[in-house]
Amino acid sequence: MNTSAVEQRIAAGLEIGGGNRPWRRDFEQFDAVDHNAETGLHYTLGNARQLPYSDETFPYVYSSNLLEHFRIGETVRILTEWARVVRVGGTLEIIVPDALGILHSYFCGEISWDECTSRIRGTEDVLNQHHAAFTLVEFPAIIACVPTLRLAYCRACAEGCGINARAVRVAGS
Amino acid sequence: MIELYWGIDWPSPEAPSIGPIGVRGLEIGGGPYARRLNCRQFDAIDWSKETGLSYDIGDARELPYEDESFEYVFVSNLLEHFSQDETILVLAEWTRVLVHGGVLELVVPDALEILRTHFRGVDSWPHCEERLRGTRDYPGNEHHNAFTLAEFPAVVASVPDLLLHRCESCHAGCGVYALLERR
Repeated sequence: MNTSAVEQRIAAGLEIGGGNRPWRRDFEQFDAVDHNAETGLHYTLGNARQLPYSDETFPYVYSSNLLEHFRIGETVRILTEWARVVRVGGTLEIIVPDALGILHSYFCGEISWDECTSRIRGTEDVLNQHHAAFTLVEFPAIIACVPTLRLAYCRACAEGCGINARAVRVAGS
Repeated sequence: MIELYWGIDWPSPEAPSIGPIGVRGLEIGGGPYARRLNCRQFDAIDWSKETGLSYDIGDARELPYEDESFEYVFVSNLLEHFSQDETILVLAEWTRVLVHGGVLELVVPDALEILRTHFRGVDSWPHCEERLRGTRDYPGNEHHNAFTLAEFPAVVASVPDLLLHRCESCHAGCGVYALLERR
């Protein structure tokens, strides 16, 4: 791995838990599982509760549909850890399922109960289960519990079934 | 607004009680678990055999009462049985039969807390599913909408002439309790 390629990735940003469908191929990829064979990308492997990067390494950190795999009691601690590796003034962008939006889609007849269930609980595969649920209206209160983040916006995505929150990294007190 | 702090009148909004004394009260959709015993009971199904109470039977979207017939209306675990499109109309109809200054007490399941109870390992998924979708043990006993504590104030804010006084958690966290007044 040549050093300048690593530096280029770090300068672009970090994607946590992108799995075999990473959003940005130019980002540093961090995951619990190596998806190199499917994607041809290099993955740094580890536990997303403890990232192997120094404080303020990245201008931008992105994580989609990962936070709900941790227990609600861990949510704030994990967001604090992800914020740690964002440079002050940089951005942390999070996407999680919106449990209420998903239920409304079911009640409106747009998705089946099985689909609703797997979106809320994750697939039955043990590694892929969810352990927390969020809704659009209360998610900002969770971000507000992280002293090193200031919420820029929190809006609906994925046709009302997802939450897209963007927060700016601020200096810790 | 009539005096109705459940901390004084009854131990919790969900606990069975006589209900407020000296006012005309209505409970809608109490079913076999009617909770405000001195209130007139309105339901889609006649539960008089189970409860010994007398029920007015009909559709809660169109109550057979004149405008401003009651000082107090109590509705627990019924609003989620109507679709999202109907919610505001149904609430407006329940408001219609209240006098100005009259009180509407609502209880609905809190979908987010029900899910969190499941994720904490306290509640099995089949039971959680029942609380989200309804028990579906007889026709009509299924849900068509879901609410959470955080967004419920925005739901009731769309109903004209209805003022929210309290919105808090009840039912060991798995319910939303709202105390509203007809302006």
